[in-house]
Amino acid sequence: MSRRLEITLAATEGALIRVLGTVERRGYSLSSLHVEKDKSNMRVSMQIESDRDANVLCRQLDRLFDVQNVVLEAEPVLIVAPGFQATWL
Amino acid sequence: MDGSNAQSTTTKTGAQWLLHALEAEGCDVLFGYPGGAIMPVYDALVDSNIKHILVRHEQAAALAADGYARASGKVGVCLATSGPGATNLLTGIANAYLDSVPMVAITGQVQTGVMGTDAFQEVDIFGMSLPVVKHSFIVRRAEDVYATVRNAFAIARSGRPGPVLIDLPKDVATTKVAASMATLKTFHTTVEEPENITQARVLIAEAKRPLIYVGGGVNMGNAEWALRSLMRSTGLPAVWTLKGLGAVEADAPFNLGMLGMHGNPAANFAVQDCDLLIVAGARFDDRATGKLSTFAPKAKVLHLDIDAAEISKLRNADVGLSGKICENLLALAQPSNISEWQKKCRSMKTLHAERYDAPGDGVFAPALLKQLSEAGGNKVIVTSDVGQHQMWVAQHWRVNRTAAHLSSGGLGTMGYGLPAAIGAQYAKPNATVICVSGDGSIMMNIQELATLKRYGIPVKIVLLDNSCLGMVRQWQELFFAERYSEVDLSDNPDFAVLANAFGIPSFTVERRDQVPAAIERLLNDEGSLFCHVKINPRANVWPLVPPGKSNGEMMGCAA
Repeated sequence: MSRRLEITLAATEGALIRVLGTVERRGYSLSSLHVEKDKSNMRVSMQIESDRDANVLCRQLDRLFDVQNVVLEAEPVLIVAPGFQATWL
Repeated sequence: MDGSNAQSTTTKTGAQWLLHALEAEGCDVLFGYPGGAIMPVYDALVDSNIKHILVRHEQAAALAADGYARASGKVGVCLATSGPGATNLLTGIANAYLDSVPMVAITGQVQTGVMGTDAFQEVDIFGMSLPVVKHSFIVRRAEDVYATVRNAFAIARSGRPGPVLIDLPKDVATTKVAASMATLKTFHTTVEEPENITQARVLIAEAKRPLIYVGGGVNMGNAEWALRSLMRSTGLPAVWTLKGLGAVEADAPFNLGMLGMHGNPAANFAVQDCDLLIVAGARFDDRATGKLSTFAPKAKVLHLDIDAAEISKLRNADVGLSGKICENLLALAQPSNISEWQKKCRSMKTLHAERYDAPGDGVFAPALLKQLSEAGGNKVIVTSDVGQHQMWVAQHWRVNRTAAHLSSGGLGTMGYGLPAAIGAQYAKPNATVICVSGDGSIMMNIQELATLKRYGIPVKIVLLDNSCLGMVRQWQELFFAERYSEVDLSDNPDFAVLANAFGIPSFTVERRDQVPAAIERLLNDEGSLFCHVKINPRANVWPLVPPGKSNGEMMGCAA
């Protein structure tokens, strides 16, 4: 399952590598990564893939001292209307 | 955050600010080993009131800090130099991480100007330790030292405790600054939503066969009394993990014993049969659950843990409570009507009670441990190393406080017992601290006998010597067709002579009839003492859940 995460963290020494290390060590792989930094914060967007529950990863990231906020984008929903092809929303 | 500041009209070096912050945190003892990059701190120590214990290997410094923290409930502190000093700390830091022990580890580092150039004794200990710390810092300015240390303590002890690393470059330690401004963090625990408590109470009210699964989080949340109160008022039976030993009174009527790989059959059968598992500060470790997909197969799960990341990590929780475990346990009290279940648990407990009537004249280790713990009572703190003797301690040691049983649970660190005992003795100077070890484990940190001698630390050592790496040998016997590979230790040194060489009095026990006198000496002799006990090399730990099997498929017990 592929999911998208938005993480806000303090731009302190090691904060980003701590986040990325947690993602990989806990059994999730990164398929895309985007980082923006301002004066004191970093905003990280990532696409992750894993058979494991992304909510568990979110809680593991959320407990990191430098992490201020973690948002897991809503799970895609499969819509199958009668007579139509299945569509991922 | 609060705005507490530390200001000084006089200048202090970074090293002096470090010690000032340690004193402000109430740190009274440091376990460490000096070296090049940490020398400014050792220089400042000369003028400090903090007691420093010089161990003989940095791993022992971290493990002693761990033992100190577990026995005292305070933050343990260890100190080492850069490079090999820092890497030698790592095993102890990982040990604290996996068992959620509050610790601050301070490492010297090469000067900031040469960091990243492969300077002498430079390693990236910050990077190396990332997966095994709760948090870590490199202090780059002397002005930040005081606040960093204070915050490290706050982080180490907040919520789910854990180790925090502070890497201190040498030039930061020697720079003088007039003031070290502190911005101290404060932490807030989740306040439980009333509806979650209501749902949890409904689960308990509806359960016909509820069972509490107690882990180390109960002790760390200062909730032993709340757990006991809940058990008394509801009559709920309980099983416990290695780290939960002591949270339930040894004689409590519905204490069913340890669950898991070497658990009591009554505990494992109760888990397999229960319809509600109330998980109190435990984390579904594989040594406790066996094959996870068959663990507690009929049960709904109510999970209490201050770390929300543990809830539904390995087993989905029907209700999760991540607030303070003490308050949440108390909020669950309600009348119950589970007399049939209690009757069944009681009969399983009777059926599977441990037996101590082993034939022969040789020392039967489980009986020795039971007798020693009963004779010592509440004045004893036991530490154990890792292996068969560790499981015998867990199965047979009678203890009524979690903080009186120190064992390396998550990491399984051979060599833990002796340094942890040193730490525990400094935490509780009036306690009788006994280290139960094996002939494999003791050699992992045997050098710490010199620390016992140097400081006159009255730790007692009970070495259960089976002339082999017993737990590995047991697995090779059972699961590798008796193909014994590198487990023979029959050429061990003469341990009694070895202890004497370190200046530690010793004696050897070879027969069962010598055990009472040995117990008498262990509990009454002043000063340190090394009791070398020879046991049967073929003795195994029973029962045993084979790897990959369900906890209901134990070997070595009646069905």
